[in-house]
Amino acid sequence: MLALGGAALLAACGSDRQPSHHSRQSAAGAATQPSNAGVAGTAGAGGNGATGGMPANGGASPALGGAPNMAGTTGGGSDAGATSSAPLLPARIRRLASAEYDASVQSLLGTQKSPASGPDFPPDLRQDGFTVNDAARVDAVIVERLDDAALALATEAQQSGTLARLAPCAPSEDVTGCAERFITTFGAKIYRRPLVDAEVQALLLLYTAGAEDATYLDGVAHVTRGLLESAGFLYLTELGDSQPGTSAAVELTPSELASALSYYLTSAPPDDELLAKAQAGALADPDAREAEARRLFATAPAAKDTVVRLVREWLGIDGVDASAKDSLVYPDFAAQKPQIVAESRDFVRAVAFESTGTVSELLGANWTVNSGPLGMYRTQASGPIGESSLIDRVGIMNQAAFLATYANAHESHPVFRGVAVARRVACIPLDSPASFNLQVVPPAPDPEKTTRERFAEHVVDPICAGCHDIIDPFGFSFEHYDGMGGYRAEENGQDVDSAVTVDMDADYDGAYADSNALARVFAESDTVRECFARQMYRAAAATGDEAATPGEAEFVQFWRALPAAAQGNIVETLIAYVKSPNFGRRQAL
Amino acid sequence: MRVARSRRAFLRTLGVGAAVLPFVRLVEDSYAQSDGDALPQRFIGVYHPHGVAAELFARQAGETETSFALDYEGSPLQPFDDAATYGASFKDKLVVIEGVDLLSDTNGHNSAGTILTGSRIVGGTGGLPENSSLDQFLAVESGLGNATLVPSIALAVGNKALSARETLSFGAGGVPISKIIDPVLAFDFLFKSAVVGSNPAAQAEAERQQKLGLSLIDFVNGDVNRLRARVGPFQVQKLDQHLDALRALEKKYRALGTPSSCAAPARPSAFPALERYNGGEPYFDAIAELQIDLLALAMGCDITRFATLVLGDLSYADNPLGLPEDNHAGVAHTYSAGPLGSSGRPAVGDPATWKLLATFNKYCYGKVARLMQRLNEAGILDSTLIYASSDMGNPAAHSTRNVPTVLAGGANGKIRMGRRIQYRTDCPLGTSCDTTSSDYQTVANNKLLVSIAQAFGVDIEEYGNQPDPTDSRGTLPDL
Repeated sequence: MLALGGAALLAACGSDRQPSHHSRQSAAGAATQPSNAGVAGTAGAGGNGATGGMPANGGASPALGGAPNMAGTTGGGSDAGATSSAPLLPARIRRLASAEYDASVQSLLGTQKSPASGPDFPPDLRQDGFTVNDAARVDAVIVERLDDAALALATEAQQSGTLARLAPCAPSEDVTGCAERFITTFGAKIYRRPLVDAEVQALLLLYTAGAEDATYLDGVAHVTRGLLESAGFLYLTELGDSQPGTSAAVELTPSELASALSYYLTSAPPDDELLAKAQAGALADPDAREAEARRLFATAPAAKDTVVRLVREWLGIDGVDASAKDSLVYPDFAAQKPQIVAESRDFVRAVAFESTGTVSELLGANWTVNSGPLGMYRTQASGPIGESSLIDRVGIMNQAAFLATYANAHESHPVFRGVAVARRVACIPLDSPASFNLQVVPPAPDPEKTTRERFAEHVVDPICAGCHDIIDPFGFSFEHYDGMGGYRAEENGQDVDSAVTVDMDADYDGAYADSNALARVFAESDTVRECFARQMYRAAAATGDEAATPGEAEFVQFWRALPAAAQGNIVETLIAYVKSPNFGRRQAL
Repeated sequence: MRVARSRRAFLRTLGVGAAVLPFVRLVEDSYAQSDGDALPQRFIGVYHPHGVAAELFARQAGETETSFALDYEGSPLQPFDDAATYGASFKDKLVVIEGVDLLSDTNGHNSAGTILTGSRIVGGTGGLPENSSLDQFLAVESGLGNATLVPSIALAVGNKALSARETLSFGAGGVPISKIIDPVLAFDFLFKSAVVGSNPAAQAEAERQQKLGLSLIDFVNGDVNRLRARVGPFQVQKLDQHLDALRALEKKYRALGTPSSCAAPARPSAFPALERYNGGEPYFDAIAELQIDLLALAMGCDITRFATLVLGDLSYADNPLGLPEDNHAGVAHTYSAGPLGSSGRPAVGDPATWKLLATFNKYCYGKVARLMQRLNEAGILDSTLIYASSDMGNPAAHSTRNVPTVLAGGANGKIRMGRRIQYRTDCPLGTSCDTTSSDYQTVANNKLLVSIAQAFGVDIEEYGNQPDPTDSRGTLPDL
């Protein structure tokens, strides 16, 4: 790698914000390439240019990472940096994420179990923080967990009477005929499309194996187990009628459209009504997709769970579920953690479905849910919706989940917080110090200084300052909150200084006393609203390629044409994607 | 990844599988010390967190490559020369290397993914390497794992996250392989098919499980292949990995109830907690030892030959090492390096912090020594190669330069053991490392990966994806 001069660094992070990594291939992209290992003389799958060294992670924070291609940090944003995006997502298959697997088996079998979210399953492979990821695979461990889960679910369904209900067979009927009826009806639900004859025949063989020396329902249970381990169930297809190896724009099939819609909004397979609409060819019409989306939000509880998941993954605050603090420094954290986690879910749900439903309120609310860690906040009487309290903090960024996630076990971490705000909330691209060959030396402990004083030292270096002039004002504004999110007026005997000046040539520029003041302005920022729309697109796109997510620019353009009220609304932003012109189009590769 | 092979090796991969001819020596020109035709048979990659106290890890003054002690005051390497604890001294089954760099192009915390891939970590948040790890390359892509019931296994303590952080094993394209953190699941993964009760009812049940399992594999295999025919070339890799996984599961169903010449251990009992940050920490030491014991038993029974093990730290109050509760902040970040740990930058450092970190390093090397002890007891240490490293050198700086590197085991004589190799370190801390300087002389761990692959008879010339191909190419000099 070439050593970069200070000027180049400033260009990478400064106001002339070039999306500097167009040649980079995403991890997900690389993952979908055929393996090069073992092939003589094959160049690396990634397009890592010598000077475009892509930041992966700038620090220990889960949010630190590569550069989003959000050139438009000025008010309203521009898409100068997104022009490199191909207009369409690739035709592809993707494995169900854990939440999708669980919601699917619950919907299909009525089980209460959540096997994929349980302790035995490997966790999701994240892309840009999101769990829906087209790079997810089935490896030798996952295939066994899927086998265990399928067997347990099929056994449960047999014992609970579910299978007898799904696969009725009168004494007068031929059991093989009954099995075939079950395969074609229930199989179509599992595959989210009608089965082809080869699939029916293969499943009938499973029935025969399961029923041999056993009962009809044993055979049905074995079919169920097979369906739950099938490629038809585990992989969502976005292939249309494309021919392998051809390169063309393709339209998703009606069934694929229905699945794309239902999995994005509910994490679960299409219900009967949606499937019927799909089979009638209705979903090619954006208005019909919108109507179905609204119906699902009105009727499907899973849609609300999905919104909560998307927002938590966007902000990375689901990271608090698996976090711990040094008990000598933060002895209360373990006791508060259940409330911190509960708030991170319940507040999102309350804003989205019981209040205004806006990004503005998410970031700017002066209340929180009563299930939250109220003991950590100063609270007043009840807030604007039921089961809520007015608090001394503004919005989700000043809640404990965000503050504790972006911190070390023993201290607050202005850089983690600043990077999270910049990248996740404001969509500002940041480069990793390592991509400049910088050896970052984290500030040493110093009992005489505040955290801000220790961290402020790095901006003395002009190379570091290129990025930290962006990161630090965001990060230092949170310094009144310690590593678990508790308020502090003093640190190491000194007054805490949370005053910052944000100067990004953006609509949230200004001088702020603290992160709460900043959050109030973020809540009204067009830039932030647009960033939210970008992030919800990336969650759906599932490609993990922040620098050039295909189709992002086109979606943002579509989103900008929405009425202002819809732009700022969480659910309306998701519906906008479902309604957007490229929702059902893919590029065959 | 660039993996340049000789034509001979390429033909071998295409035609005569390595699994069929595991002992054929194909690398005439690699290692002078090979004392027979046998290749190493087993590979174990070990990750240990929090870097190293270079001052105490380094060869001591006056020592040479082959004349050195491991039992000096504060030595983290002492477990390798501790017959009283580990049954034997492993001093002559060890190569300790200083000055190796992980060219991950990212922060040290994200660099574990480079240890066995030699790849830069790319792709933003959740960045990943771009090619498979050496264990998967040898076991799966080169077919060396096909000879056994379990082609490979990825074990860990406390952290099962799929990311470049604290993951060693990556499949084709650089996608993380799932790690098993629960010894009960590790036991099932390795031994379940060998454990069937001897009574007729249990035998009959096993027979039915086998019949149903095989019918199921047949069906899923067909279903994956039906989908495979519909997807473009960029999607095929996903389904091929799925098919590999199905084949591995099929082997287990076929083996179900088959009498084994090897006595399976008892199924371990469940631990109250397993995951870090969720109450698992107090059990990490016991979990690590159980994972090690199960792995050595499985290798002794030739159930698997390729494994990785990701160790955890002991971040909990009153841990047996007497370390601060938060190892990350209290041990790794308080480390105040001297010039050695600062890659040459003038520094005084604080020796007390070196001792603290070396205490943790010694703990980790104690686990490697335990692994060697168990392999030794199984009679397979001499045919095994262990590669242990960390994601950082100086952990307080998150430096990926001068990472601790230990090769252990006999490697069937393919690597001369009983040595300490020193390379010069580059990139003094706190400076912008000028990699264009004529004085710049990195020793990328890619070269070690090439050396190991060649030791296993896989004749490649480069490994990984470094932008400067000379970093990915060639073997480690002096090894």
